[in-house]
Amino acid sequence: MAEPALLRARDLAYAVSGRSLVEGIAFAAEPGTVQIVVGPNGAGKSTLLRLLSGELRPSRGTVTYEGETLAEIPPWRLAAIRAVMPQAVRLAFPFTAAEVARIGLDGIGSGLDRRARDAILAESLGRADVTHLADRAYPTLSGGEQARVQFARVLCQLAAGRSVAERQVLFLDEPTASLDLRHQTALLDAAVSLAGRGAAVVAILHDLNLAAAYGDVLLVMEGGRIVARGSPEAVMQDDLVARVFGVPWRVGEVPRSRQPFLLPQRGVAAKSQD
Amino acid sequence: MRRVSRRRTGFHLGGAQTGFAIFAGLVLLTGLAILLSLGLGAVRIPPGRVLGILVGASDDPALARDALVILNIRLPRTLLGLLVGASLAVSGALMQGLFRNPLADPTLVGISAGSGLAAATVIVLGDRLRAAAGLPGPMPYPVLPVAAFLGGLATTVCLYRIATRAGRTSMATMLLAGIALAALAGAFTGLLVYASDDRQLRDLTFWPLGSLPGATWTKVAVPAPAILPVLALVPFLGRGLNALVLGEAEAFHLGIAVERLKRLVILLVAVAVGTGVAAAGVIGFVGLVVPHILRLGIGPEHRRLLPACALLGGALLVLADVVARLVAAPAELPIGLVTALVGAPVFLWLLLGRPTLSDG
Repeated sequence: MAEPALLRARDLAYAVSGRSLVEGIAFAAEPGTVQIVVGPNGAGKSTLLRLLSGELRPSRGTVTYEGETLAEIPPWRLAAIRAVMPQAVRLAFPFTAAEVARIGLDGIGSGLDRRARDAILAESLGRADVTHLADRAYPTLSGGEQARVQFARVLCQLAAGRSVAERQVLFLDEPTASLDLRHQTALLDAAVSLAGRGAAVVAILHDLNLAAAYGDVLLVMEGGRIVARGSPEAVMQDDLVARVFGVPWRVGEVPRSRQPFLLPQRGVAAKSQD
Repeated sequence: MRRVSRRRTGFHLGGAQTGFAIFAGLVLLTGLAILLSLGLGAVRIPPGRVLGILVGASDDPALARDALVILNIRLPRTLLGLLVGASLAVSGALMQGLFRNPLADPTLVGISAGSGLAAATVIVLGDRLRAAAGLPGPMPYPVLPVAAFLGGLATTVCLYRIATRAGRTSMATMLLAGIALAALAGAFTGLLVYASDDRQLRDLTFWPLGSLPGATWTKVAVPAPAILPVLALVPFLGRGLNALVLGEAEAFHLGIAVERLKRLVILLVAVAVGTGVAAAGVIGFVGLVVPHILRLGIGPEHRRLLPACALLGGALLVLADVVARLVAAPAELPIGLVTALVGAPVFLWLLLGRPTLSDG
């Protein structure tokens, strides 16, 4: 491991007016991995993502991409290295879905010719399953459709950036929140296949079952710190679920694949667990 | 509901050809507006003769009077109308992109009011101040426009300072602060009304209504060096504004230096509005209605929208000026009155017909 990690954070902390939101974070991401951040509301997941993507400056600690300090990378170059799929984005203007996705190509893809850009746009729309919505006005789409258009925009950005940077990071902030089951898995499958092509994927998910199905590594956050990390099987344990998420449910296990799962269970008292 | 809104927003989707056709139409409209503006007024000059005079066939002594009217009176007035109209419409579109709100407008955030207050100060107190300072004669012409420009710039800088904390500019704070500053500037202007005599009162009444008459080559020469560079920079802002429409964080993720873009846009708007107000008074609704109409026609994509705004804004203001000088001839209506009389109902109509697109 002589060459620096694609993305690394050391002793990361962020505080706003004296209140600490994130503290003592050590983090590294390598190409080909899917890391999923889980945790209760207010645990600092989104703040961590914003620190890692450069949107926020840490109060303490550093974030580096390929060994280079994040704060010193200009935005235009950063845009080729990492893309962020935000939570719900609303638009006040009637851009079409295709126009929104194409924004991901502007600038970053300025070195590509028109045909290459059109090809990237078409492929991204297809992968996000929004080709049939291309000419619809974005504000008239449903929340889930809008999220898929944003995903197409992110795919455009990554594809355009690939002409500059081969090793990329994809951040997803609750990307599946408004999607139906088929599109949840389709989106995460697409993320996994991006990881297969050399991207590092860092996603926030609330659904522990999706996290267990798609994460190579789960990071559990609580009170601004990472309190557990490891494979889904190692992390999803009854006591951790009870302690961090405050629900007394038993973790189950899919036969054969051994993938852990968690079902809502009524009438289970916390004490009866142990 | 959704089907209705799809139909309404769907017709700008005709692709490149439609966009090109609309641009060609706008250029034609602008040309037509120029011809009308040069030909109509107290003296009617047929279009053929207008063109002849423009291309320099004015040696004919029979045309000398018409040539004088066109070259010395109507041409500067028309050019001023084009410049001011273009800068108003472009400023409107820039502000709307910046605030991610189709209802934002330089008039709304108090920039025009700040310019107006500075102008009112010069009108009411200027002569007294000059007398107190022992300067002879009346106020020289450039003082008023320069003061109006400085007033607009000062308001914009105030707004920006109020809304910026720790290097980040909150657009919501800026919008609210702008409304407060507009009210404050209006109140001070009101105070000045109390301190003014009859002649000043008349000037004060007509200033906020806007006007183009009395445009001379000098009056074109003052704002042109300020407005033309702004218009020239506009095509380079489209990409950044498109990204900004997604949100400030999203624009940053897409590689835009967001704070720098915001500062640049605010400065450009201050320059364009300040000089526009200085040259022609406060002219409302162009900045609001022109971008709105164009979004229905060619869509909200800023690289297309901004140049189209410059064309349509210029053409509409020139046409409004033609109306202003024809309806009450030989007297002239203030042009701001015409844009408000036509613009406000058109805007209401647009709001009524609009699907619930922009409540986000």
